[in-house]
Amino acid sequence: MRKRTKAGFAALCLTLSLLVAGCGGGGQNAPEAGASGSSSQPKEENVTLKLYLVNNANLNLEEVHRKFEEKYPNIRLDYEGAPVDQFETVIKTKLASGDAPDIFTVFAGTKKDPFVNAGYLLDLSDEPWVQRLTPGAIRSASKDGKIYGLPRSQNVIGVIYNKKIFKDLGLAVPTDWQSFLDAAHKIKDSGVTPIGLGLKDQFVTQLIPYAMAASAIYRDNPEFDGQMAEGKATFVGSAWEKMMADYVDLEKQGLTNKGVLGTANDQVLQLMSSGKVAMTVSLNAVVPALKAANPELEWGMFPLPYVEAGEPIWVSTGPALFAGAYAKTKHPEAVRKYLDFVASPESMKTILDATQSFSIVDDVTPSLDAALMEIEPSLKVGTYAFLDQNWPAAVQPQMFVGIQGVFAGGSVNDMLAKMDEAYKEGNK
Amino acid sequence: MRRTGIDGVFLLPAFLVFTIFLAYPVLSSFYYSMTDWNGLSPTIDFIGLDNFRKLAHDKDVWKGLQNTLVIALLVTVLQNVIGLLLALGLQKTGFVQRLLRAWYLLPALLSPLAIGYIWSYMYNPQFGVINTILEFVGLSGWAQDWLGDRRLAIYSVIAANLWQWVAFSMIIYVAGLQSIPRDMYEAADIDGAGAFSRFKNITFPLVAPAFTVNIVVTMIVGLKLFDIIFIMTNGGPGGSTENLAVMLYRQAFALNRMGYANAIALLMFAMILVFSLVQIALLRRREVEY
Repeated sequence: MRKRTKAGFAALCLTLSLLVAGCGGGGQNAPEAGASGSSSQPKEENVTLKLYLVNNANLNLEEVHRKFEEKYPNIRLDYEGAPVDQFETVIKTKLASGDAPDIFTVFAGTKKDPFVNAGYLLDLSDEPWVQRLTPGAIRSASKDGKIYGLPRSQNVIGVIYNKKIFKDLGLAVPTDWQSFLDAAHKIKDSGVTPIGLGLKDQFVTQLIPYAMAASAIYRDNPEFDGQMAEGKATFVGSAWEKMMADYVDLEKQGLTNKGVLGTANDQVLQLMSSGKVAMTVSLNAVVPALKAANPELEWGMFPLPYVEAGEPIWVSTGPALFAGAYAKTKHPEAVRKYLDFVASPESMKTILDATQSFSIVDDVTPSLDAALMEIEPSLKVGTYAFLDQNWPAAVQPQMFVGIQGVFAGGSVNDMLAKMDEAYKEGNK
Repeated sequence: MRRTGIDGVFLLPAFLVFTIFLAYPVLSSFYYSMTDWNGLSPTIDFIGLDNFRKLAHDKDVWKGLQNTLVIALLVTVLQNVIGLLLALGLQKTGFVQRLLRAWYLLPALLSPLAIGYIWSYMYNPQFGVINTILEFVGLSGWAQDWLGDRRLAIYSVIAANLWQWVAFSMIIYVAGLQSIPRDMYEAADIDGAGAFSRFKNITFPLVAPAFTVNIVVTMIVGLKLFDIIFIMTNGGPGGSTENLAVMLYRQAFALNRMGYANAIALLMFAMILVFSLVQIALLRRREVEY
């Protein structure tokens, strides 16, 4: 009995001391945080900016940051990068818990709107760099006439092709849909897979329809998105029906690799870099990746010619945003200095050269791969933004699943009806 | 009197940890399931049982539920049958048996992420090793688009998962088998029992505790299987491998429907709870004292 009491007492002491230690730890942190906050006050200079950015593409930010810290020795950059899916989940938690970084990746188009509506983003409309942006870049960074992010580049969807295969077969770059199909058939007859398509990765599903829609819908009716928002147009009954039929037909005619739904994008790129696939419809960023995989091969890029012979081909392009700022940041001045520095022609060129993408400001010309220079003139014919930039957020995920479903044998009408449903729900 | 006080102190740390890290999140999930929160907006509207009403009429949810049950059933049955067979083959303590046991357990030590990628490559319809082997041995008719075929994809994923975890069940069975007293078998030998009779009358009844653990664990794992599906198909093609776990992730983080995703989470929670309780009640009854 006595013994047990003693043991119990000892345990009690131990537990209490643990608890006290736990509290002590918390207590120590609090004044420390306060101290660092107050110590920066009197000096008024030493500031640490927290950055949380998507790092899927290599932006060569080390270079930009090194130069920034040289220019502003009093501003320290605390950079953290994350892959895009991780970023999307973590940033919401950070914002909700009040532990927000000063600067974080903002997505272009409607995908940023929930962040704006929640009041998390700083209004950047009065920044000097806004004047230099192209109209498309401004559109993708704004909501209700105000700018909430610094755009960094313009991405392009086009047909990336193996120049040697085209040359050996005597093929010219096709400029209408029929000649595109004819070229593909010729490639197929020579024993090479004409078109690489890796639909196992959901993002790949959208590339061909986006490239088609620029010419098939928006060239003749730039107001289509506006009409959809007003409820005057729907996916069902639009050019989407024909587009999807032609899209699936590529596989049915045997112009793609076998088993498109079971093939991932990486696997397509491997097949391309080993010369087993002649073309793929993809983003400009794929060109440097292919180059790295096999420096021997020469690549070109042309706009997907989803048009009748003689008609102008429009290109699907998507301005990408670099980042925006937290509305309640403690260091708005340092944040502005940082974004202004990134927007400088020198930094912009560093980023564009690293990502091999097109400029969104008038005064910067990046050094691009020859393949990308090939498609560059087409951008002047006409472009339309990646479609999800103008859709309510729920439409794109619905489309991903829908397109896979159509390739697995589902009906196009079901897919489009579901997209309409998601659009209406999100547009409320 | 003094005793209850001291016992209470002993319970306190566990109680606090449980409350903060389990009870509170679970209970707040109940609350969020009755809101239309999008995961970002500072305002949260209470909408009662609307999410659950929507759930009942959502065809995708029913399909997801069906996928969940198919996966759980197959994972439970296959992992236990194959696991038990492997354990029966490897229950001796010779060098080869011990080596093979460790060998089979290796995949369980790998990250599901790595396994998902490896199997995605093996399943590739054009240059994947599985189709290549099939073509090599003259069975090119059997070559399939393993992850791209709407009917096949779910079984392909289950097979990869089975490959990873079957040895986990095997190890528990091996331990169970080794705890069966030798003299039972000796007695059976004297009585002239054959191999099947020994399995049916001694091994199977006496391995029951391992059976209970394995069935319950594999069932729960099967019901909430997420990582390997997420990596290999992300629910595709066209939702044909989307179970409730993948669906709730997509609803919460791709579609920003946090409230609705919480409602799906509660459906899963209720389902796993009921299944586990029923199983434990049934399986415990089968266990014998010896």
